[in-house]
Amino acid sequence: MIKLTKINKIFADKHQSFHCLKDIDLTINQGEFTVIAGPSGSGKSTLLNIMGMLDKPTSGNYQFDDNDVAKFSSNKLADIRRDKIGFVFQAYNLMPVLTALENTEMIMEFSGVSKKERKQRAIETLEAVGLGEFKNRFPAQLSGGQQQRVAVARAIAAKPLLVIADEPTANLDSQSTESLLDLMVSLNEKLGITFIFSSHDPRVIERAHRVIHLQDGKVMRDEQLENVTAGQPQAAMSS
Amino acid sequence: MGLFIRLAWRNLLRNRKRSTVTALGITLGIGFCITTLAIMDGLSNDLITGTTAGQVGHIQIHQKDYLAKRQLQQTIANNTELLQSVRQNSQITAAAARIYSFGYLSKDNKSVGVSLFGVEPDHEQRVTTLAEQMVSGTFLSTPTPWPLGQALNDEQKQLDEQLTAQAVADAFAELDGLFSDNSSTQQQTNQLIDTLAPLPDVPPKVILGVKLAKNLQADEGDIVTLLYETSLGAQQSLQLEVAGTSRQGTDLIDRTRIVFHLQDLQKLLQLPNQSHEIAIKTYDLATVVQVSDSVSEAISVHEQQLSVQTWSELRPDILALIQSNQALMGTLVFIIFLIAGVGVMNAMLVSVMERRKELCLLKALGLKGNNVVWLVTVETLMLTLVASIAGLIMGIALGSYLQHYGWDISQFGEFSLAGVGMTSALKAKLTLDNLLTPVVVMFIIALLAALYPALSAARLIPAQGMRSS
Repeated sequence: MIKLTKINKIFADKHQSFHCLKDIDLTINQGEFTVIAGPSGSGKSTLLNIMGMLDKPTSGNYQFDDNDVAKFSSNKLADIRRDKIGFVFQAYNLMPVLTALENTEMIMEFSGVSKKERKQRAIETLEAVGLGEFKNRFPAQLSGGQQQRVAVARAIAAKPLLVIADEPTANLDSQSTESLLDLMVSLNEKLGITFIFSSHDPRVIERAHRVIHLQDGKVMRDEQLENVTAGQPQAAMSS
Repeated sequence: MGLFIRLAWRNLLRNRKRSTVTALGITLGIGFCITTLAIMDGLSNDLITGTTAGQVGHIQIHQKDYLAKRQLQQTIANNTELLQSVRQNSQITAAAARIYSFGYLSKDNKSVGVSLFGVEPDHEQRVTTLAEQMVSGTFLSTPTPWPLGQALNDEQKQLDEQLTAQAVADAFAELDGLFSDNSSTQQQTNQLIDTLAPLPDVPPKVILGVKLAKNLQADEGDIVTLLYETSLGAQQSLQLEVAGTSRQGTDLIDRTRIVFHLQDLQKLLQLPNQSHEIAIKTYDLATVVQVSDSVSEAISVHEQQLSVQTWSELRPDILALIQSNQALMGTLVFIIFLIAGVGVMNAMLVSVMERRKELCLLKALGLKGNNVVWLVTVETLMLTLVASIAGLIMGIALGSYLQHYGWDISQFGEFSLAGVGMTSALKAKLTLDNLLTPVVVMFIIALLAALYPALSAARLIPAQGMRSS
């Protein structure tokens, strides 16, 4: 699904530059439940942004579904993000002026899904994440855990192939974290959605099939863990 | 589209103070622009009406060059026949013949230079508002009974020649410093003039300009004496009865004008069946050029060197004044809109900067750049729409009030523009154009003002917004 070859990312301005990612080679297959772990500043979020097509690498090749991403126009990239990728951010990033239901419907509305269908799917998804009764609340009227669950609902309601979650549990208490992880594992197992997390939370790493350790912009270790669910194809290529 | 409208509306409500202040700017801009344009149109309308209904009419006919030289003898001949062919035009409401001259008017020991203005009362009332301008007394109606002049017989013609020769001899003698008693010659000359052009038994009735009457201390029913020159060059005097006074609103006219019945002045000046001017009123001012052309064609059969001119050709200064006022108001309106546009742009820029993270999120979730432009534009359009409705209501309310009651400017005294007396209340004129133009222009300016913030928003890189969070 994702193949990164010699990916480099350098942030530079007039006075200084920072080599954030260094020659990353990585393959992620369909249905994987992968965690990218590493300390702060190791390049986790940057790597996720590149994989989620929110940012472009300074050099290297990125293949998504066997297509060279560098050749895509910004509109094509927007279409892929909309139709194939779901995002869950650390800071929830919900639209504050939309209700939980509207936030969940939003991406489907971008895609042109009919009003009836998107509403039905959004309600089902919100019920699946345990927020059916809070669907008409605005983000400010929900707790952090509830907001993050709305963000997950938004990410999965459009039935993406891939969910990219950047430290999704960083702002959650233990109970919310467990509940969220249960939900994601369940989605991975039932729907075959590929999950890529960035996290250094041990509770997240425990659930992963695969952990990629980043340090100083390099892949230090690529681990295949025991808890691989039967029937989910797994593969890894370490650098 | 539904999502965009929801997002736009809720974003506007999110920062109510800023949205209200920006909307208020647009509302006031549109409201005042509608009012300003309505006042401008009202003023232009007053100027045109004051010009056409006050004196000029819609179209005038003169002998060629009359307006440049204004000589007493430059008359339109066969006045009655010419008027008949003009009045046959179905697009004409009325046509009135006029005659002009000058003289001195005196009462007791006061004497004033005056302009004589002969009109056909019935027709004049249908062309201009002259009859409505009466301050006291009644407007003219019938001509004064005037005895007919008789042609000189052979003996009188011979006497006329002798008197002429005598007058020339007396003039030379006077040049040589020799005194000659010419009272007998003058007396005999007057007798001949009485035969040719006898004066009426009763003083003709006239209307005096209100300030002229005041200067001479002449009231309704008073007798005043006019010294004038006939078209044949004879100087004569005649007693006139003041039938009333009128105010046209123009200082010069109110100080100098005497209005006669056309036939009285024709006889007085010895210009039978002649006039200096024919003023025409059409049914529709908008068709004046077309009517002017058809009148020219109709009178061309009369084989006179005549010119037919529209009101705007006769008073290009009025047209220029209206156009310069419109240009001035246009500039003012543009400045108002520019300020409102800068306000809109500022509000949208701040809004985009504040919501940078949200816009990046939308792009991250798959919203395309052009959709982001549309989102910001919809927000601007909704703000402009709400403010425009309020501005329209304000403009209609203010404009309607000024259209109905006018703006009382009498405290600034009587005033005229380019010689046209203005009414004491400046009235607005609301038209569909006046209502729609500011709204349409405001929408265009708001769209242009939204363009930069919208393009800035569209250029946001999703990851940058995410990082800044």
